Amino acid sequence: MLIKFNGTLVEAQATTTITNLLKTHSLSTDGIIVVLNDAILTKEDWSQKTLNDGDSIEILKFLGGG
Amino acid sequence: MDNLIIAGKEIKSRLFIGTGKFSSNSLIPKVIDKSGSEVVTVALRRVDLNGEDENILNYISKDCVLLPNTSGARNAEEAIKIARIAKAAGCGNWVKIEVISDNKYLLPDNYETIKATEVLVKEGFVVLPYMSPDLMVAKHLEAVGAAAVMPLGAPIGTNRGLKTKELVRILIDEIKVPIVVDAGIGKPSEAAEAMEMGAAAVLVNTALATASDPVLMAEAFKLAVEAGRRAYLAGTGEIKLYAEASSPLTGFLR
Repeated sequence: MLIKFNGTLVEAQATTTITNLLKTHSLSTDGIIVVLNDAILTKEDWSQKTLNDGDSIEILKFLGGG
Repeated sequence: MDNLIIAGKEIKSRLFIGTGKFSSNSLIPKVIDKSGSEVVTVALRRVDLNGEDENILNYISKDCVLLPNTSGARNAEEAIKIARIAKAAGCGNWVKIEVISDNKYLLPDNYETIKATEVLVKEGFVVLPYMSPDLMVAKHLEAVGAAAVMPLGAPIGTNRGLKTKELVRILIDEIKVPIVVDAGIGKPSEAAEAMEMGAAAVLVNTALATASDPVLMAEAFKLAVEAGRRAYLAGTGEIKLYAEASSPLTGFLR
């Protein structure tokens, strides 16, 4: 299935989870904020919520800024 | 005690700092320590899928008030979205509204800033809007509930000092909420200048991050802000056009 991952269309396995997605892309979980279709997910949701075709996921972090 | 109070919170240091542009995030805890800052800004961004972004929060003391900015927002809607995410991420309810669609001067969009401030105040945020000094805009921001107003001294990152000095002075005189000069301050003397005029605080980022020794510069800024504030409270003497002798004009040894 196709999902939008930080603005880019990527292929993902049907019923994959955020946890799997993070593993696939070798992303650290330290301090990340996950937004699925404009809603922030709790850490429990990362492993429990399955993704659907067309979902939009944003993986965000606080960085240095003025 | 001459403490700054924003949204009911007592802030002992009138030097707020930004965390961008440092050559290494490891400088940040030392800069915070030497500056004595209690209010620290951060930005919210997409994680770089190819790189290793550090979590900036690991470098900021838990005693500090986090001030996430809405940098990246080009309009009120985008700023509101960023603010809501920052709050939901557990960073507290303070937010610096930064709405910029001008890439040359990075001057803020005052009108979109007013809109975003109004919405976010109603949602319970402590809103500190970054703005171009304009008295009517500042009055609107105050009217819709901004906790402070943050006029720029000069464009972001320029280190050019208080180019907007006279307009900032007007805001200090006419606006009741704290005025925090944010952007453009390049030297401790410029921070002192803002404080001498009566600014409630200053926000400094580039001047620290791009100094040869950011940690020593943080100490310099701390002292400058304290000096400027004391000068304001002490009441500076009158400026005169003609000379007036400092020593007695009688009893000369002639």
